Amino acid sequence: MSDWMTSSFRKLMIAVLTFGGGTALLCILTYIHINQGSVSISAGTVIDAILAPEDTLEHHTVRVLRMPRAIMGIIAGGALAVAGVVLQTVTKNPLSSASTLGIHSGTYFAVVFCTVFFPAALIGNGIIAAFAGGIVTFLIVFTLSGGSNASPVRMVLAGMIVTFLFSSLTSVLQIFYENETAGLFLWGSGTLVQNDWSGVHFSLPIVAIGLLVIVLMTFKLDTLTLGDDVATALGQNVGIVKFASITAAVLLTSVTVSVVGPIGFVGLVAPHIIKLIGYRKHLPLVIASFIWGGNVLLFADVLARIIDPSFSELPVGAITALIGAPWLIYLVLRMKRNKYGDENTSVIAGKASVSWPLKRIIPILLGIIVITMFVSLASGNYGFEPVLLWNAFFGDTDEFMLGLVMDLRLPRALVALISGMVLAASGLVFQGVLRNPLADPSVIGITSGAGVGALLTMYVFGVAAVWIPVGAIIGACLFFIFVMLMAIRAKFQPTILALLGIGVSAFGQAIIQILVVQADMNVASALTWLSGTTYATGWSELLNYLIWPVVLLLPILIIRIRNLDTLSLGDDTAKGLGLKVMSVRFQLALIATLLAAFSVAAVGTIGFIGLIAPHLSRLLVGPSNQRLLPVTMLTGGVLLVIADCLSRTLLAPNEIPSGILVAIIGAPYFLWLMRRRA
Amino acid sequence: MKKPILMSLALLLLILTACGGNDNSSEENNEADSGEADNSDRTVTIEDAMGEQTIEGTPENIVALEWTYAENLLALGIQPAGVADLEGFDQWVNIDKEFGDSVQDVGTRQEPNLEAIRRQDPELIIAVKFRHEQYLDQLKDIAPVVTFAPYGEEAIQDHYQNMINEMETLAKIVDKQKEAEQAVSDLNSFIDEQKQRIEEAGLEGSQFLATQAFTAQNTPTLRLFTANSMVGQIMNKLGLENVYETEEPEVYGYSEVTLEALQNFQDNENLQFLYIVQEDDNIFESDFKGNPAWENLSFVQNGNTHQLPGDTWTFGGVLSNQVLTEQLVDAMVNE
Repeated sequence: MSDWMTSSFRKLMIAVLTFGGGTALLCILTYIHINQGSVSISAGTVIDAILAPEDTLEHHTVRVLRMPRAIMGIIAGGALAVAGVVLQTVTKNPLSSASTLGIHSGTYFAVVFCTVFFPAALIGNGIIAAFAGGIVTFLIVFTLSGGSNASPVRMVLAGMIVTFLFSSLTSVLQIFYENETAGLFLWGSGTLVQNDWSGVHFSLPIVAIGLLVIVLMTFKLDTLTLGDDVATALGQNVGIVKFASITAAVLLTSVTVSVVGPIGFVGLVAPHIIKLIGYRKHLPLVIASFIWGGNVLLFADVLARIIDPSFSELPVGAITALIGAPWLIYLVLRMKRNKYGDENTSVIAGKASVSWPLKRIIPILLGIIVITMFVSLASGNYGFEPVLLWNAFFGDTDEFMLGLVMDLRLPRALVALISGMVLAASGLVFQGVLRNPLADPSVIGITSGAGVGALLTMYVFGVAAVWIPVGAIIGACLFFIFVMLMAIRAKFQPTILALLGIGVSAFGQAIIQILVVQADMNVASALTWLSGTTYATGWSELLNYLIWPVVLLLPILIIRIRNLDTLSLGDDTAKGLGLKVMSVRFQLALIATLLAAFSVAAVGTIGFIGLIAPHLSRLLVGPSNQRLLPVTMLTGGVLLVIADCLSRTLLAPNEIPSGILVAIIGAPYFLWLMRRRA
Repeated sequence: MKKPILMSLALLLLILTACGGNDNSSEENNEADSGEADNSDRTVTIEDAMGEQTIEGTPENIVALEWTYAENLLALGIQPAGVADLEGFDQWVNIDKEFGDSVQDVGTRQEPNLEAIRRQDPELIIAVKFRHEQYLDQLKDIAPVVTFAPYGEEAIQDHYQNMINEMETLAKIVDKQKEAEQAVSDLNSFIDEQKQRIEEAGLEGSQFLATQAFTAQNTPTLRLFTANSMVGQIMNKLGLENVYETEEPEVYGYSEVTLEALQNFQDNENLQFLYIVQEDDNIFESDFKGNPAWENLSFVQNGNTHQLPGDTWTFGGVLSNQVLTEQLVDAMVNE
């Protein structure tokens, strides 16, 4: 009896703390928040302004500039958190949120797209465009990763690929239509700055409608957590429930994006706090998440202004990522194995559609390389000039053309070729080691580590740009060590590793964003480099960075690649065959990291090659790694040579970063691959 | 819109080069050779961002990878061979002198096209450290390079003076010191003339706040010009006093602020507020009008706000600064 008393008393206390305490905290944070600003206003004046407004400038500042910002923070944070709850329930994936599923990037791309092509569609801050973009993105990610049966990891990875794709498309629009998109920022990180109540007036009714729909659905969502079959048996129309709640969640997301920009991680952190407290039923879950989502976002905004009290502010989205990414890592490490489906499968990319012998396929690939290299060398600012190229080498002396080819085009094409090979090999090894078909250096967070290292070298240590690549290599290795230490705790489970990578990646991205905002002009050149470009690479890159992986690392890899085949049989079998699973994993991953780091040093962060090349090769020669390695390397080389050639010639004399081109070619292909596997 | 034009241009070039691609480059060679013959004994040693540079001969065929230097070449009476982002130059930089038809676009300022530069067969390339530091080796393979550091430690103490210094360095290299002196003294006397107008309007000695405003991330953003900026320096020379002070000089000569920051400047009744906005992004009309936090600012209530045209270029060379001076004074006086 007394037990029952104490436990119910405990429950009551928890409820009071969660709801009452949460609301109280919201009030305290709001008060702190409106005391912050570019002009100092005494606390007494702030209280007067709230309670007894007069027609003075200070009071207007509090009421017209600061209060809307705080209220907007609560609305946006709450809306994102509730959207997160719904997405997590419907996708049966504890890691779902608007940012992890790529919905943010989709909504944002849609807004940029309409700004350029259909300015008329931008009524109401572009909410319609944002909403359409969000729904389409969700459908893409959801169906491609296998719908309701998708494992959480695949879904999040699909979200990540979609995010890559849309960010690249957004940057392309900004390169082509610089003037039309001048008011938009590259991949925005969101800001809560308000100048009047219009943002609140606009978003409040829409958020209220979305919330109402979701609150009405809470009971049905509870049933849904029992599984689709049970819910159907209980007479529920599962399809309608899912459709309505997802629509409401995307609506909430697109409202916030259209007013304050994409702010990540709130939708992941807030619901989990409430779930950790122990709430499982959706009605309290939704309400508490709203309150705590507001708290998280307000706290981040307060923190952003404490860190940088100058007039120019830190983007609040970067702060939420900085708080949220470690949180994601913590969640992943806490998770039980069975909770998100152990994808302990070997890497399969469908059957090889043509299983040609290596003797035949390698000459063919080499032939393709020769042809693409020739086309690349013959193309430049004046189009395709094969005759001139031929003459330069074998005919009349054309000093100018010969110099052009030998000094500029040939080294650059070679850099592209070798970087492509190295990146592809790195991706293949990561996919094998993590037994995750969607792994590559950028997915594991190593590329963002390289980016952080590069920017830190410039901004913090202020050394010459020449040292950027060294910083990149150090950064990549540090991030790799961190991921590996975590991985040892997680016993090298492939899925956990992949998720850790995403968390680490986001953390790195947040640091990059903060550095860029805080930094001065020097970073402009680092930024072009970060988007991945073969621009102005030459013999020196070949000799300084690319010779080592070719001479030292690849031979080691070729000797060790058999272990990858053994690993793919599964850990138990591999142990039975006498393989030291842990140490082999570590060694191979280290080689792959170094490969990635060197290529980052030469050409910046070009993603996707490491994802696509191994998959294309599997279609050609099947799953055996020994056969895959040479084919993968050649394929990767061809891909990057083509991308490099296009980046030089499409918009000549202007360049398109080749990394962006690779993403635009690669992402759709990759999504199609996922679809086939699902 | 840009794409079809570019494509047709590319096609045209393709046809031209197919007809006789290597003729034009050799012609340029001949011209350059004859130029060099006259002054091959001349060498100049200057100090640039990378240390001492010795340049032989008098370069005439010059590629400028940043607009300020392209513009200063015009002021010295030299048509550059190539300029980075020509289209952008025409859009932003608002000066009387124009580039001739011979001037080629050599790609973007951040990633200038090495092939296009090479086709010009230049005798000198003008680069800037903050954009091109990583690519200097590749540029040096093409031609001698002079690297300026307009946002370096020393330069940012006073952007205006730094621009004058760079102009003089450039003049020394191309052997046009007389023209440079003339251009700088023209600018100085022009500023003095304009100062008269300020005095006639009874505005001398007034305090001011100058800003360039635009929408970024859905948010009206104001760039407040600091003392080290060109705007700040010119206003000083006109006898006005900037109320916005920072402890450290801002790298670009401005701080980005939001509306609220303007409340720190309420003490002076006669504060003049100058703002540059693009017509299609006039945040003062679209966002601030009717907003009590804006309407109640002292300079708004006293009617001391002055709008400058959208084509005001605040990061230019000698000629741009002349235009800028006139635009600043016009905004304050003609109201």
